Amino acid sequence: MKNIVYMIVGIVFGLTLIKSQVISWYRIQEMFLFDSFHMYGVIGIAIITASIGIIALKKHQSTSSQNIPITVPKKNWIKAQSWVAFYLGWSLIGACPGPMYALLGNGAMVYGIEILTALLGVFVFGLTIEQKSG
Amino acid sequence: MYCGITNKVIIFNYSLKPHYWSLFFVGGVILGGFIALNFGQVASLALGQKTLSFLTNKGLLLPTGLYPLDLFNFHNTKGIVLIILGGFLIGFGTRWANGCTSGHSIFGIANLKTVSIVAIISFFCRRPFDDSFHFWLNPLIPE
Repeated sequence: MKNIVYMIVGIVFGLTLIKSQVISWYRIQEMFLFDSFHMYGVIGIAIITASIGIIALKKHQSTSSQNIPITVPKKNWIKAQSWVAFYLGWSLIGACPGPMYALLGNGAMVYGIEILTALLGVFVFGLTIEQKSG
Repeated sequence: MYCGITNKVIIFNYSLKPHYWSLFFVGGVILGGFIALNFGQVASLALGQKTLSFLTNKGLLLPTGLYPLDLFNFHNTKGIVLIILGGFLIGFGTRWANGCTSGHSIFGIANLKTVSIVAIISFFCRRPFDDSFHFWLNPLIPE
């Protein structure tokens, strides 16, 4: 039942992604060409909202709906190549892991292929790099 | 055989149950996209001039929807190759980098994580120099 909360959050997130046009391939090209404020505005407001959210969560020591304290996982230093891999993919098809689901729901069935190959990518990562470093 | 692989691979040695919520979340995102179809008007994209001439130079049609239908459809081999390749890179890269756009640029910066800020700056600094996007896209865009 608690999972319904997550689903509602997902619905709001999906709606926002579509309606703010940030999932648009065209908007993403525009961003890479530094041709419009649109994407930077959306991301900027998102950063401000997230800052307020993090401060509020820390102040109230909130727990998730599963009664687990909400903590921000520590991000370790990452390799530059990993960014290159992600951004090449992102700039090629203009849909990162969230938007590809929203686009699929929006009727863009062709992004179903992306979901499958992205899952394959994670699987291959597990078989190769993670396996070696772990 | 499949299970044999997953048991030996470290990354897949985890219990799925505490992560059920993420499946519900993803399902919600798909639903949200579907609801957006019947909610309000279809967005018209007012793109910048540089972007419009970029599209014309690449021989692409001007936007009628959120994504280029003339590039990404089931009948366009180049588009499908792009999707397969890009999808793989996105899945591989996201896992490798421990996060995607929102993870690093939005949440990471909001939380003042140095790694995220460096990641974002390095990306946007890289872009004007090597023009890699055009380089990669060029041979694949329909004439």
